[in-house]
This record gives sequence, structure tokens and C-alpha cells, in this order.
Amino acid sequence: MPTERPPYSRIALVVTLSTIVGLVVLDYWVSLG
Amino acid sequence: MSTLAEAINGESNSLDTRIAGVDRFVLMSVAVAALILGGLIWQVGSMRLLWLFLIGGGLGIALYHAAFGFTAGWRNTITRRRSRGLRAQLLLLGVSTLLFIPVIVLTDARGAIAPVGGFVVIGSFLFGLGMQLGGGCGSGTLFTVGAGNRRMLITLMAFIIGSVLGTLHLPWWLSGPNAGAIDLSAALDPLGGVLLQVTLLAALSYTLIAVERDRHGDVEALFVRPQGDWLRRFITGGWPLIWGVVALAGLGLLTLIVSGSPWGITFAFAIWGAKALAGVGVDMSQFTYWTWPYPAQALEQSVLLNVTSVMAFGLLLGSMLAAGLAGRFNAGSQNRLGLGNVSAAVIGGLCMGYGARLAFGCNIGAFFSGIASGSLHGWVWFAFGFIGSIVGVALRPRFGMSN
Repeated sequence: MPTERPPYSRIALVVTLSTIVGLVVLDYWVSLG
Repeated sequence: MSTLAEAINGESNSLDTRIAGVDRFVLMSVAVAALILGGLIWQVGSMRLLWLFLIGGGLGIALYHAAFGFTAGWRNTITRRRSRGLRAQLLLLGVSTLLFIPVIVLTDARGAIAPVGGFVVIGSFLFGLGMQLGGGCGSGTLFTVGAGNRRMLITLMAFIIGSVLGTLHLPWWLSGPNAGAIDLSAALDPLGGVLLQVTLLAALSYTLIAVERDRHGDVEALFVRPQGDWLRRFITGGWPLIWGVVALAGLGLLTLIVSGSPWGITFAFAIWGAKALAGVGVDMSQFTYWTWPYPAQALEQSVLLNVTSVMAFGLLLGSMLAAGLAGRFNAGSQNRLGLGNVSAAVIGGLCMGYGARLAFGCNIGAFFSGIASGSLHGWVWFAFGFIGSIVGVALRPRFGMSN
């Protein structure tokens, strides 16, 4: 019998993933000197 | 390994009730992030690093779908004398020994061979203690964070801080006496090393079976034929542990072949923490560890060029993808965060981070990769990590955590 999907904030998910990608890009930019 | 399932799902791992429908929003979010990160890795790094990113993704899927947790497997052995999870780990080590040592001997690949000393004893003890309080090990912390568990995000943050602290003190720890790096496959010859390790792992498994039978009168089977549609189960999760063993051994071997060294996780945490400190103006070159050639280069370069970081990104996204396929993203966050379990997450994370630096790796870099490479430090890590876990299990109730 299927269970309900647990609730979560879509905005929080998008912000978290964007932050990770943003930090990686920032780190790359800094590494270029 | 029901307690790991609790970390992922926030409830008992009733496999037949896990399928709640694929979460398209999570899948789409993962796809976008993976495309951007994968594109950057390919552009800035190389095709080889892109492969390692994908292998990391596969590891994240396997860890999540098989609920393959080192922490809960050890805890179930300690508290209930139910050893199915630990026996799966020993089988993984045995298979990986048979796969890794020939590759290391016959190719240019390097094993995870590290020195043995008091630092490994103390570091692995701290790690074992920390993983019981933190609620996950190196791989467990990363894949449960990927699956949306907010408590494990706290553990991860503390893990990163502990890793950086460990790097600051490691040179002092290494200045003491140690026995050097002992490679069993070199000391005994490769065949002797393989035979010794496989015999030891088989003897341990046999002992665990005997103890479990003595306590319960039966033994939980490791080889279980899954019910229902196998393809559906493969995609949406609820894998038998043995599928996890096969996937982790295969992907571990691929990592060794593609990267030239075995899978590791926690060095990435040290780099991320050190980069954060450098970003706010701390001169990391004042610390001896960060002047050593490999850490200094990793600190200077983009994380997109660092194998452990790239694989960790893949693992995070892979476990998120798996949670989305299972329709269980964020399931581990449904329980209330209290002072007790947050304190345990912080203390556990700090102990794991610090311990992993001292012990030359975590349950992946030292225990899995170390033993599969034939390094004695992996066995020392296992012994003292397990003792640390016994202490950690005893401490859990003080933080309001059940065993």
C-alpha cells in the first residue's frame, strides 16, 4: 500500500542546490587567481 | 539495518510501503544540478573526472537504495547481536580484497596504504564513537544529507569543522612513534595477503553467525530473494543488501581503475572547510598540513579538479536522485530536532572529522579502501573504530537517542 510522500520545501531544495553550485563556481573563479 | 532506514525515512524500513511514487520535482532539480556540475567538471577538469562524478552518483544510489549503513550495522551487532549488516560489510571487504589487490599489483594504481601508530588508534576510536552519536559514518552522513535529512546536515557541518581541526593537529600526532605503513600484500606477497585477509574475514563472519545463533536461535539471512518486480525495486529502491554489496564492490573497483587510487570521502570535507576559512581571510599556509604538497595543491586548485570532492558531489546528487525515485526525499527530517539529538550530531560530527584525519580516513578511506588494499592500518581502524562504537552506543541514550 503506497505511503504519502513526506513534505518538504521546494524553495529550500532549490536554494540548497543553487548554493552548492554557486559555491563551486565561486571557488573555481577564486582558483583562477 | 532498520535504524539506518530510520535516518533515511524517519520510520521503519518497511520495503513494501516505501514506493510512494517518483518525485518529479526532486528528479528535475537533481538533473539540472548534475548537468551544471557535470558540465563544469568536464570543462574545467577532464573526462576522467566526469566519470568519477558519475561513479560517485552510482555510489549514492547504491548506498541509498540498499540502505547500506556501516553505523547501524555495527550498532545492531553491539546491541542486539544481529549481524546481517556487519556481515554484508565483511563480504564487501572480502570481494573487494579479491578485486583490489590484483589491480594494485598489476597496474599503476596505488592502494590506500597508510602508517600505523597511536594516531590511527585514537582517530578510529573517535570516529567509531562519533558515528554512533552523529547517526552516520563518512558515506552515511553524505548520502543521508543528499536524501534530505536535516539533522545529518548538522552532522556534516560539524564533520567539516572537525576535519579542519584534525588537519591542524595531524603533524603533531605524526611526530610521535609509529610502525610505518604496512602493506600486507607486499609483506606476505600478494597471494598470501589475499589469503590472510579472506581467511580473517571469513572467520569473523563465522564468529558473528555463531554469536547470533547462540543469542536468537536463528540467523538473519544475508542472501534474500526479493519479492515482486525486480526492475521496479532496482529503480525505486528497497534493494536487498547483497545488491548493495555487488554495486559498491563494482563501483569501488571502477574508482580504483579510473582514478588510480581507492575511494575516499573525508579529505574533501577538510578541503571544503579549509577553503571556507581561506575565503574569510585565514592564511592556511601558517598550518604545516596545508603546506604539504598534496593538500596545498588541493587547497589552491578548484574543487572541480579534486577527485574526492567531485565524487562527493556525485554521491550527494546520486542519493538525492535515489530518494526522489523512492518518493522519500526529506523523509528523515520528519522527527523533531531537540537539544539532545542536535548536540549528539555536533559532537559526533566533530569526533568523526577529527578522527578521520588522524586515522588516515573514515569507514570508506581507511576501513573499506584500506583493508581492500591490504593495509594493516585498515584492520587497526576496524578494531578501534568498533571499540569506539561500543562507547558511542552506550552514550546515545544520554542524548535521548534510542538504540
